Amino acid sequence: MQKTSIDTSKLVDLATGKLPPEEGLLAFEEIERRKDQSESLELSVQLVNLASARTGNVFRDPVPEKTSVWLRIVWRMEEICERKPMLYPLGAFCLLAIAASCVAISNQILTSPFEELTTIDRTSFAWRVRGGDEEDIGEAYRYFIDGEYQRSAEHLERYLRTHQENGLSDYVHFSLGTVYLLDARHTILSLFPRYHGGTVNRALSHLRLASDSRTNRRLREESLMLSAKGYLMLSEPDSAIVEYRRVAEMEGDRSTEARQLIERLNAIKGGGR
Amino acid sequence: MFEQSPRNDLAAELQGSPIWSAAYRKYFRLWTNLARGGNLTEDEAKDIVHSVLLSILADPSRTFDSMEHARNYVAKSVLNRVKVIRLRNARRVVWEDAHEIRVAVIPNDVPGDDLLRQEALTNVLRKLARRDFNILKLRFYCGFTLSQSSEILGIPLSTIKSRETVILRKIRERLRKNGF
Repeated sequence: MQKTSIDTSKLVDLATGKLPPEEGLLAFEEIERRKDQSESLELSVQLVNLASARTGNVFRDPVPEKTSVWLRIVWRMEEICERKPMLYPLGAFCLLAIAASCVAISNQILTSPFEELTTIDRTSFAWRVRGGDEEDIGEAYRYFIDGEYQRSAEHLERYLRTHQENGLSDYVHFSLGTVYLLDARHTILSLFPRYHGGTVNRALSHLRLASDSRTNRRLREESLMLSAKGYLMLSEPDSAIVEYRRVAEMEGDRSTEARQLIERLNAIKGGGR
Repeated sequence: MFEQSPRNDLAAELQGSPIWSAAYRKYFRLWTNLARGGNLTEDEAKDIVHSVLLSILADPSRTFDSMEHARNYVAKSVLNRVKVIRLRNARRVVWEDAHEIRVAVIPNDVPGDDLLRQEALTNVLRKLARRDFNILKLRFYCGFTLSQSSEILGIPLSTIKSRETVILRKIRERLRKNGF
């Protein structure tokens, strides 16, 4: 008598009465020899009993007529992963790595080439405002420290509305320009930086007023430097170069820095980064 | 519990033997299906199973090491009988034998052994993916063959065959994890 191992499907056929008696006898010869075959048959027996139960029978769901191509692909992938369980975490890791790479590449492509020249380090920025005992200016300063630029700007704007032009106005214009520039920057999870055009233009108009100041040369210098950053946020390098040239011509503390920035901008415009 | 009948020899024999009562509840469906594999009707198959059981129970010298041993012995006896019937084409003989048995043994609504085990299996089936559940339903509940199931579901025969093996292995593992 030929003795062969019975596959699972044949055991199911045996339990559900699909095998002719001759094949059934051969199957039982094998079942008696092997414990694992006997255990497999036991499970089929349980399922057969469950299927024939009049109460508590779970086999009630309707049977779908056709399986979609997509489902077949998913089943096949699952079968492969079941045979090689390490594929699951490895596959997940590869997908994550690919996704991260795509995000990094798109961030680089979509980011302006002038981005690194537009950052404003607010920790080194000195609040060049006198009149901190003025209520609005004091409040504006506190909001600035907390990073609430909108509210800081509101208080500064209120000060300008409620006071005539005086010795503090230039400084308030400068502070407003700075606050608006800081507020204009938006990112998605620190990636894909973007600048709100309206806010930048508002900043530039205040910085222009501050840079026209006749009283304080340092204030004018700083205002022009910030204006240049503002133009770079709007991707207008030519306008930024004009501002940097004005700083360079003033031969002040930041004239050397301005010249270096002009060279860098020309290099970026020429194609290098 | 079995329905009692004054002429119910088999019921009386089974009631006197708790082990055989349990085996009957657990494997009756299997033995009947084996007999039906010989193209017999449900009633004919049941009669053969009962006839075999009576002949075994009538011989006190026949002993078994385990319930699986008894299962296999009864299964082979049933299959041999069905083989003889097919070869001889002597169905009238079977009916005459069956007539004397006067079966009044009705399986429970949940013909299985341990209800806890049955419940555990039900819970595992409920957690299966829909596609896996449908394959089992076609095979065990509707009684289709592999090729019929493959045609109904619209997937290749090899896929459904390998899928069935994987599903049953998964169920066995989950039952084992739950202590069954």
